[in-house]
Amino acid sequence: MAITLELAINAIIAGLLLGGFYAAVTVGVTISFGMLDIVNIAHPAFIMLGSFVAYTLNSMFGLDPVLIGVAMAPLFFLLGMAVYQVYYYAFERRGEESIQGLAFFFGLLFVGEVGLILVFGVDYRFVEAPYIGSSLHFGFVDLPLRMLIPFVVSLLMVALLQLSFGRSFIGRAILAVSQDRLALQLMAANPTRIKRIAFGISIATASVAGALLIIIQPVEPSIGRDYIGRIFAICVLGGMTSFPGMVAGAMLIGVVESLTATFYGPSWAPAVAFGFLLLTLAARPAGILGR
Amino acid sequence: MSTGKFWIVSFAAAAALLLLTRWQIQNEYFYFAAYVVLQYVVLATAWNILGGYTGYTNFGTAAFFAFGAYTAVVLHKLTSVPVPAMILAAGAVSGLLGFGMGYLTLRLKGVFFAIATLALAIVAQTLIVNWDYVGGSRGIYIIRPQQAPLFGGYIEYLYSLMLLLSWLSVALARTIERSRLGLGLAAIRDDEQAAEASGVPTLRLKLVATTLSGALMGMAGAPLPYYVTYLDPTSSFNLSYAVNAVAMPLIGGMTSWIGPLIGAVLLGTIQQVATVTISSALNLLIVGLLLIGFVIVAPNGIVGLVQARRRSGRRRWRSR
Amino acid sequence: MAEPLTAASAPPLLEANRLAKHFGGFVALDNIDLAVAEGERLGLIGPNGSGKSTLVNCLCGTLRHDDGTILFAGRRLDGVPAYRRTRLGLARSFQLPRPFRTMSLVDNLRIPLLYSVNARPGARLHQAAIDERCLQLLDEVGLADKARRLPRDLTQVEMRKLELARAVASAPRLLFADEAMAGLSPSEVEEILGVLFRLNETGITIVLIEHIMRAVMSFSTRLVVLVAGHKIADGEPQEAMRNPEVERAYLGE
Repeated sequence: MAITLELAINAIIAGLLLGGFYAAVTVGVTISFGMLDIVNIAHPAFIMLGSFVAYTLNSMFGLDPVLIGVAMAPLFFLLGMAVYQVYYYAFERRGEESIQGLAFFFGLLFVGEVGLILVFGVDYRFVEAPYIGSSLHFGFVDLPLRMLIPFVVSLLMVALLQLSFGRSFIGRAILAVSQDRLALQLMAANPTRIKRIAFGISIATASVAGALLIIIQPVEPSIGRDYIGRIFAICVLGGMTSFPGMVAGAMLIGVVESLTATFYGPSWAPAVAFGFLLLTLAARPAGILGR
Repeated sequence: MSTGKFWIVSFAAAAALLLLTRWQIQNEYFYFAAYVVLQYVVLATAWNILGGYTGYTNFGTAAFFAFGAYTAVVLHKLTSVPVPAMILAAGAVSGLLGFGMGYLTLRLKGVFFAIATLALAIVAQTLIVNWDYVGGSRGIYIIRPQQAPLFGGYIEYLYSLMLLLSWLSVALARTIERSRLGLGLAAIRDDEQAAEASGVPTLRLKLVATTLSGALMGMAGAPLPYYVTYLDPTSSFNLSYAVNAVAMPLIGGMTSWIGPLIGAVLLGTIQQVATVTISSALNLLIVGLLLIGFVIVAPNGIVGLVQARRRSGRRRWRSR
Repeated sequence: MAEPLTAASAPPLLEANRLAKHFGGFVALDNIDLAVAEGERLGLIGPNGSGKSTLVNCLCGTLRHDDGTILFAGRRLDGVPAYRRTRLGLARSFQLPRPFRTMSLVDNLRIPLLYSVNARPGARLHQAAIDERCLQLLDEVGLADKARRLPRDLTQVEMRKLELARAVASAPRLLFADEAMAGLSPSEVEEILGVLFRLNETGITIVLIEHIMRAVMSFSTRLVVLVAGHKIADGEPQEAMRNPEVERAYLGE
């Protein structure tokens, strides 16, 4: 009995740590999909790109992955703006956002994955850092640093975004755009420029998230697929536009996945998250915290 | 051309193609490649019933396809059943899956529906991975029967079946397109709320579309175990099925039965050639790039380009 | 102007009792009672945000109402999906025209004919009869010469006419004309008004939701005024407009 309880508590804690990381993975989509209504299902591809960039720089120069993730974020920001430009000219301007937009991002997701395979091959890659491998121990509770560090960095990033969106001009403009596009247009503000910046920010987060991912586990290009459903599950669960809601959703999914993996085996974990998503969508399209 | 006539004419064309190829072509590899292309004709056509006709994007094609394949595996293990029977059974299973998925997800706005289909594909894959009877994650080996029911080798037999299935799905798609059902689906695609306000039972029609689409995809998957002789979840649930099922109708043209056919033949052939001459990874890259390219430049596909040229030609003629 | 075909003792064609609808904390409709007599021309007015569209959406089935009952021709509509209400004879046109973009005008009208008229018990219209009826309807709104064209080739007012024609194609007993004249020029407003009068003369009960007061006053045999989810007036148009609450709502504080 005691063993099971210990196991459960460790599983829950691992789940919370994982959930914190999932928040980093999802925050970009909360911005692009929740706030801007752009269905960027290719987000995992950008995260994988972030992971492989971290791997490359880490293996070549021995730089710390978190540092790489943050340092490369501006480049990803520019990439995001470029992608948005294409998206805008091809779809948003014409008003044909639905199937074609989805297909565009789907294609991007696929091209991203295959592109990475062509460059890096299908082998697992990992990064080296002094904290990977060691853990903190509190009684029977294990806190592996390779999970704890991403957890902390992730929540810091989300908190930073939450604060800056609430305080800065750009942040508030993005919130305004997400709430009333028409009003903004009528006021002659340029939503396109604001959306471009917002999308850039969303992709910049992928740089950090990718670096965190490769700290947690070795990666290979097709891992991105596992994250598509996870990301949108968390986004929907969190009520689409709310950062705190998204974090809560991420924690929930993380814990449920962790418990499932511990007690039923890791091969069942993906189904749980996605099953969650399906049930949530079926019952409450507005998410657990509502819109 | 009336519907009845089309069924006959297309059957004649398919039969002629079958006889011609079986008679003239001895190269085994042709039948291996052609099987895959024809399989995509069915998948693309099936996808388009829900995607192009009704406007609902399904990213979970692999789930229906793989469930069809695994239905055949189960039947193969239980008893010896001829492949056509497996095809029918697979259609029933995947049709049911389509119905279930539709019931769960069709109340969702288009985008959420697409995401839900992705989620469904993962759930379906996880179920198979954890089902040891069909091999689980290790996969399963299937031994082809000694004799093919008709003359010729076994691959030629599977090719013939897939050709028949292609004909069936294309003729069915065209029939739907020109029918009352097709008009209702188009109304749903154009404006679901307005369709509902005009008396169209939108949920019911959407369920018909998902069930039919799923069933055809399952049927396309049924002969797969005998084709590959080794089946595992990673390959049968491969995302490339989803991408191709979206890319082929989009590149061919989503509003007509001929679009998926063109897209599948074109893209399928390119991929078969590229896999042999370049590499399989690069050929997937080509599909992805073509998809992105077409969606930006020619969102109505090849059919759309042809229609646009015809219309501008007519306008130029009229303004003379 | 034709007289409405009501007898004082005839039951209302459409009845809403204590209808309520809220979105989260916001109350859009608060205990609305409404009765529409067969053949009458009811005007429904109110400032923006008063709940007019919500009311129409609830009555037509686009939105599910939270409380109260709806009766149409004596039959309860609670929980009945929108498409079935249309088949029962309750039709609406949309505020912003929503034609089926990829279809010709004829095909746009074919949908309600195939899915509403032909879905009712009794004789089905066959292909030729349907085509004929489509052209007839287009002719009645003056769009016969554009029958084979796509909606994107239409002008604003033509789109409004198509919208009405499509609603009429389902052979309704009651039609909600939801702001069919917004943004039109005075002569175009007259055109649409003329269409609506003609429809009413053929026996269709019409509920006109509008902001253009001149049109509403000349059209309606009865007026209902909605403000912030409440019905504040219901009766003869001139009388309703003289109601002090209505004056306040429209002329401002």
